Amino acid sequence: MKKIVILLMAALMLFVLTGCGNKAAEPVASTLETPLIDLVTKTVPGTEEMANLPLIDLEDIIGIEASEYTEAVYMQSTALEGGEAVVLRAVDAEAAEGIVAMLENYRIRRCEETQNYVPELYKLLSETSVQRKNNTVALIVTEKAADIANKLLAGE
Amino acid sequence: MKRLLAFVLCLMLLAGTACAERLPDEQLVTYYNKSVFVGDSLVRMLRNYIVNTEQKAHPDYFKDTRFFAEYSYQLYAASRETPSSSKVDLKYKGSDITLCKLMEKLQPEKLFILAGLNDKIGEKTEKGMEYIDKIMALMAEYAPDTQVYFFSLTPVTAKVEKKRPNLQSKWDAYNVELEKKCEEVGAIYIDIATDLKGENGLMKKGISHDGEYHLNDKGNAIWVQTLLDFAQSQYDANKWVPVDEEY
Repeated sequence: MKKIVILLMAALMLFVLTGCGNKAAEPVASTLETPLIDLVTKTVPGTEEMANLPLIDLEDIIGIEASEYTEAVYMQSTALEGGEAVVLRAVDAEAAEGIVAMLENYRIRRCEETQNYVPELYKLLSETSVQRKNNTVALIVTEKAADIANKLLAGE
Repeated sequence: MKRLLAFVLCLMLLAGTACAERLPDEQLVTYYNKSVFVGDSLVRMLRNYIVNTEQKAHPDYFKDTRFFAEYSYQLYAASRETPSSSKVDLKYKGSDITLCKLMEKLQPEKLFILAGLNDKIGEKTEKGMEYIDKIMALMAEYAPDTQVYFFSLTPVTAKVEKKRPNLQSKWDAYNVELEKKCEEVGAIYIDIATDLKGENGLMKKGISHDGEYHLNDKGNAIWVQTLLDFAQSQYDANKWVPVDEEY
């Protein structure tokens, strides 16, 4: 009887552990089919107070040309000290690499612009970084930017 | 008889002016097509206000207007031919660029400039006038067909005036000089200060974003209205006719 109980408990443990293991291995749902604007407004806080800038500004200001991405979102707060979100799905890996460099350049220049002018925004800019997953690149300038960027890029 | 005819003609002219039609806003805003706005954080916030508010109601508003604005941008930087190593410059395609070189690339029909707040230009008017001279000389060289406009400095709030007494009167004096200088050098002066002021001559209550210099949505809405009124004044003076287009 004891042996049967022990065997049953072992089987139960095995079952539970396998179940937990399977849950850990469950893949994150892809977000590639989700329009980028929907993904950004759902994930990044404060976008209701951000202007969704025309994509000509990506080229004019940051230097990212339309041929380098399939989709892009460039949102900037209407408040002086508010953040921004620049997210792009690059056409390929090479373009994604180039976009990372351009966004980092942009971030640094924004830091220079705000350092002695808007300390709250300078802090957000200096504490964030450009993130990339596969061909999707994101620069999030808000509180807890790293967490938000990770969440946004999780399914990309 | 001659006097009677002259009198009747004058009456007709007056009547014509009084009955000058107010164009619809959708037509007035086309005055700013093929234009570039350049300036400091106030221009950046105006731009974002236009995109986030005006264009949601009117998608065509300022659709053909480009904005280049940097926090802490100075009139001094606008007067340089080469980028400054110590001051913030405009950005174009990721690189620093001076105003004249940017206009050389873009060749807009009109260039609207708001700068001077970060130079504290109200306290060094003479220097400001030198910068204007330099800007106009560079524009004549790099973009001779572009008409240049200078916005007046915007008013300060009562809070700022209390910290820095008589600052507003200095800025008012600067604006008077700026208007005279514009006439002298062939630029056009646009007074955006008056509509933003209250009865005390300072920024109206309820329109400041930060309680100091910057405008909130209400303030930017007034600025946009001033732009439309200015376009109307140009039409009334037979200096501009809107292109007939669908809105």
